[in-house]
Amino acid sequence: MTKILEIKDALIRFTEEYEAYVKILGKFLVALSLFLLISMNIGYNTRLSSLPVVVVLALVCSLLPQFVTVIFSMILVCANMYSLCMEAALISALLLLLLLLIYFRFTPKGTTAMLLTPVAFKLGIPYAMPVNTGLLGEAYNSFAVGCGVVLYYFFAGIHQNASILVDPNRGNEQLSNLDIVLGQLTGNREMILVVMVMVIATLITYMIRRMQMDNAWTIAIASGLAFQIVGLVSGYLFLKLSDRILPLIIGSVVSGVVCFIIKFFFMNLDYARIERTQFEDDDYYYYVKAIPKKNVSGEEITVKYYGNTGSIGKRMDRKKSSAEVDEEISKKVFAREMDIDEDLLK
Amino acid sequence: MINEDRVKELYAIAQYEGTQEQKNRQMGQYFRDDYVWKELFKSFFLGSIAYAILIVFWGLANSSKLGAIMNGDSITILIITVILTYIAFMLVYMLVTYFCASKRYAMGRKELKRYSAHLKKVNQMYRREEKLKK
Repeated sequence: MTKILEIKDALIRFTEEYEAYVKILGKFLVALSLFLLISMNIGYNTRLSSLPVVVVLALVCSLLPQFVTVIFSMILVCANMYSLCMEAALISALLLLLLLLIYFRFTPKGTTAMLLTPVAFKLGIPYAMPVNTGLLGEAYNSFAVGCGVVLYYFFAGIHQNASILVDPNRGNEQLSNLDIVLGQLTGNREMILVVMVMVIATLITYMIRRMQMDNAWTIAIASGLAFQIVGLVSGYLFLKLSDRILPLIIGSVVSGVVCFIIKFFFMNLDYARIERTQFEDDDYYYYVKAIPKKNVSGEEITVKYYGNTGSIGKRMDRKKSSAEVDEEISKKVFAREMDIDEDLLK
Repeated sequence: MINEDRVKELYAIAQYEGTQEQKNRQMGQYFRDDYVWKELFKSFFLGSIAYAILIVFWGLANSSKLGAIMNGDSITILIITVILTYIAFMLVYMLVTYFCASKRYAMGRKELKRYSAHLKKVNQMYRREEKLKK
C-alpha cells in the first residue's frame, strides 16, 4: 500500500511539475481517441477518416481549448454522414446544433463527459461514466452524460443500418432513409432506458458523495453502480434484451475498478485518524471534523560533508559575534514594525 | 534582493490575467442587470432557433400526421399548440439563462475583487518604496 501511495505521489508531483505538457498530452489523447472512434465506426469519408488526417486534427486540438475538439468532432461527424447520405447528415447536424444550443450554451465545460461517454461505450465500460461524473462533476453534468448516450446510440444505429441507407435497389415499400435515421432517435427504447438510468445514477452518485458521512465516496460509487445494474437488468428483461445482461455485469465490475482508481487519486482519506475540534470567534461557534489524506512522507535525504569543503564550492560562514547577531535581529524587528523591506536597512 | 511578498502578489496578478481576465472582463464592464439582460437577449434568439429545430424534428418524425392536419381543419389547433409550447419552452430557457448568468456574474465579481485587492497591495508596496527612497 505504501508503494502505491509513493507511486501516486510521484505521479502527482510529475504532473504538477510538467503541468502544461501533461495538459496538452491529455487533450491530444482525448481528441485522438474520439476522432479514431468516429473514423473507425462512421468513417464513410475515406479522406477525412485516414490516420494522418486524424492525427493532425488531434494535434491541432491539443493546442486549442477543449471546445474546439467538440466543434471538430461535430464537423467530422457531419462530413462523414454527408458521404453516407444527405438525410443522415441533416439529422446529425440538427441534433448536434440542438445540443450546442440547449446544453453547451450554459456549461461549455461539460464537454468532457459528453466526449468520453461514447468512448467509454466502445471500451465496454460505459457504467463508469455516470459514477465518475457524479464524483468529479456537478449535478448538471448528468445532462452531458445523457447527451453522450444519445449520440452513441444514434451513430451506432446509423452504422448498423449503413448498408440499407446506401442500397440503391431498395424498394419504395420499404422505409425511407429519413425514417430509418429518425427511427434511431425516436424508436430506440433501449437508448431511452439507458439515458434515464445513467442520468439518475449520476445524480445519486453526486448526492451521496456530497453527504457528510464516513466513506461517502465509496458508498456513492457502490450506489451508482448498483442502481445501474438493477435499473438496466430490469429494463433489459422488460424489453426482452436478456443477451445484454452478461456484458452489463462484466462491464459494471470493470467500471467499478476504474471508479475506485479515480477515487484513489482524487479522494484518498484515512477515516481511522479523524480529528474533531471546536472553537469560536466573534460571530460563530465552529464544530470542525478533519479527515487526513493518506500520504507518504518523502524520503529524508541527508548530505554529509567531510573535511575541507572549499573545493566543492560550499561556502563556510564565519562565526558571527553576539553583537552582530543582536544588530541583525533588531534590524529585522524594525523592518517588520515599519513594514518595509529589510534590505533597505543594509 | 528580490522582494518575496511583491513577487507573490505579482504572480497572483499574472495568473489571474493569464486564465480568468477575459472571462470576467464583462463583469467589470456591466452592471449586474445589464449583463443578465444581455444574456437573456442572446438566449431569446438561440432559444428560438433551438425550438425551431425541435419543431423540425417533430415534423419529420410525424410527416404523415402533419400532412393530414394541414389538409384538415385542425391547422388552427396546431398553430395554437405550437405557440403555447414555444412560450413554455422559452420561459424555461430564459429562466435557466437568468440563473446561470446571475451566478456567473456573482462569481466573476468575486474574482475581480480578489484581483483588485492584489493590485492595491502591489501599488502600496511601490508607493512605500518610493517614500523610503526620498
